[in-house]
Amino acid sequence: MRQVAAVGVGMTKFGVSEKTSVEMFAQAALEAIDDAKIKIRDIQALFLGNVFGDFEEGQAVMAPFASSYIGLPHIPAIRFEGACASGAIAVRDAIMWVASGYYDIVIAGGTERCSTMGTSFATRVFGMGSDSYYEWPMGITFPGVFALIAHLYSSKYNIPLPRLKEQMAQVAVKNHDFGSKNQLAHFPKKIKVEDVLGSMMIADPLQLYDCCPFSDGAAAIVFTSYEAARKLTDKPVKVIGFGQGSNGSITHQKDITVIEAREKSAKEAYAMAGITPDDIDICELHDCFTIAEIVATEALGFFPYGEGSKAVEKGLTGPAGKVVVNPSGGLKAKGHPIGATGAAQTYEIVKQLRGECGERQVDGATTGMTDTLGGDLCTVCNIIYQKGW
Amino acid sequence: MSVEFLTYKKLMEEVENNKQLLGMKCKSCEAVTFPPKAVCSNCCSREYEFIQLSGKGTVKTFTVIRVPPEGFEGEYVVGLVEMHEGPNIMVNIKTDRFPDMSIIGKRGSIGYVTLPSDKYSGGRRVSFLFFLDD
Repeated sequence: MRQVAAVGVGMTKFGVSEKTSVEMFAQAALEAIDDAKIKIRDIQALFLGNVFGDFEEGQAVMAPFASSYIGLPHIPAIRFEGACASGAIAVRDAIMWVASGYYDIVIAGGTERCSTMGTSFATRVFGMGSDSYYEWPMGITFPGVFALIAHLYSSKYNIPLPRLKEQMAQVAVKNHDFGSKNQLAHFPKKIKVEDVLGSMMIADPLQLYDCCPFSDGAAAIVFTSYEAARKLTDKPVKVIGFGQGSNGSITHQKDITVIEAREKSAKEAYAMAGITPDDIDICELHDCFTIAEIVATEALGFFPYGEGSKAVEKGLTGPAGKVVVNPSGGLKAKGHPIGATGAAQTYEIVKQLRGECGERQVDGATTGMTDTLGGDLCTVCNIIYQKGW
Repeated sequence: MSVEFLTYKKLMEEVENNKQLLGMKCKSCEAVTFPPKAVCSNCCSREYEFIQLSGKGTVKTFTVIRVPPEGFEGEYVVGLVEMHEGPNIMVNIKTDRFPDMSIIGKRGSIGYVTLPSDKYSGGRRVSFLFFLDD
């Protein structure tokens, strides 16, 4: 396989948008195309993550519409759906097509306009990510799934719930600290532990500030062969490893504090890159809920199982930590336009490795990883990037 | 070879007509699979029989849903129960008070109620309930 590199990135502000999904994607894509210093018509294929366009805007087959809107020639344009990991699996496929030698220049990304649905309908629609026959009929929700994980984590590792809730709150505080330095974030503001613990209960033990918001937004990345990338830019960001894994419904997962799809995906990515978790400087990972960040840091191998919550207390995932987790503000503060999230994580890693993140820049970062999770722990995708200069 | 799956239709009929919960038992490794799959969840064997599950189990974890999705009302308890035969099942735990961590490990029995179709469900559903032993 050929070496692949990211040569251009673009991202909209996350939040509530008046633009349509296609318009948001176009904004991100044109920024990425300009950043890559290529022409629109150089692009040979489009890989687009979008989850619920059908429900948000009555729009299926969004990829060809997005392709046409930015003037791409009659190239293949494909929509990827892997719930909240849709953008990430679009990125992974884009990378593989370039790695295979079939395409030289592609664009990948994602777009989502969650805000059109309103909370009650959105909670119904997001519930479609659960097993529609064996989970949804019990009225399970997304926060509910991670609430099940939080209670199990407390019980399994014998961490009293009040202490775990404090540790979870510290995840939210950290990510909002980072997010306050990201002008593209949905909620660029700092919060305190008391804000989290005093917020409305959503699904015991998760409170409002344990949860990421429903957001609108889009992000896009141009990938080329590394060889071509070196001619286009002084700062090509190399893809050095990737992996993807799947799980069935929650009931079929042995232990939902250990997401086996993630273990498999991460292992694959580290093996391809020839590195270990200790080599990762920064990681944009799937903190859809505070407990989600804690269990992700364990399955990715940054901390042993049962130690992820203590690592937060010790600041090991903060700005001076052993691995800086979610320097963008994460899904928690930056926002979670589900189909775009994996692409937005990629945007942050590329910008960080290029040293373009201003106030939230992690100094000296050379290797970064994305981690995106979709559905009820169903799909996980990991991609590892490295400075290519 | 034609394989008879434990279809959702069959499972639902058995619940509605006979108040019985069916699962699959592997003829090769004897593992019990629930919810049903096309193959044994342990060894992938396609040789299995349908068995009646005991309907007994233990609470592994739980939550109280405070913000319900469209189609559900009020606040209610969702749990994951490990069934006597091994597999997990998602349930609505029926309790007088909202539970705390002490509910984990408690035993009880599975019950059933049928939910009507909604615009997206493509048909009725069985909702599994859980009643704690005294």
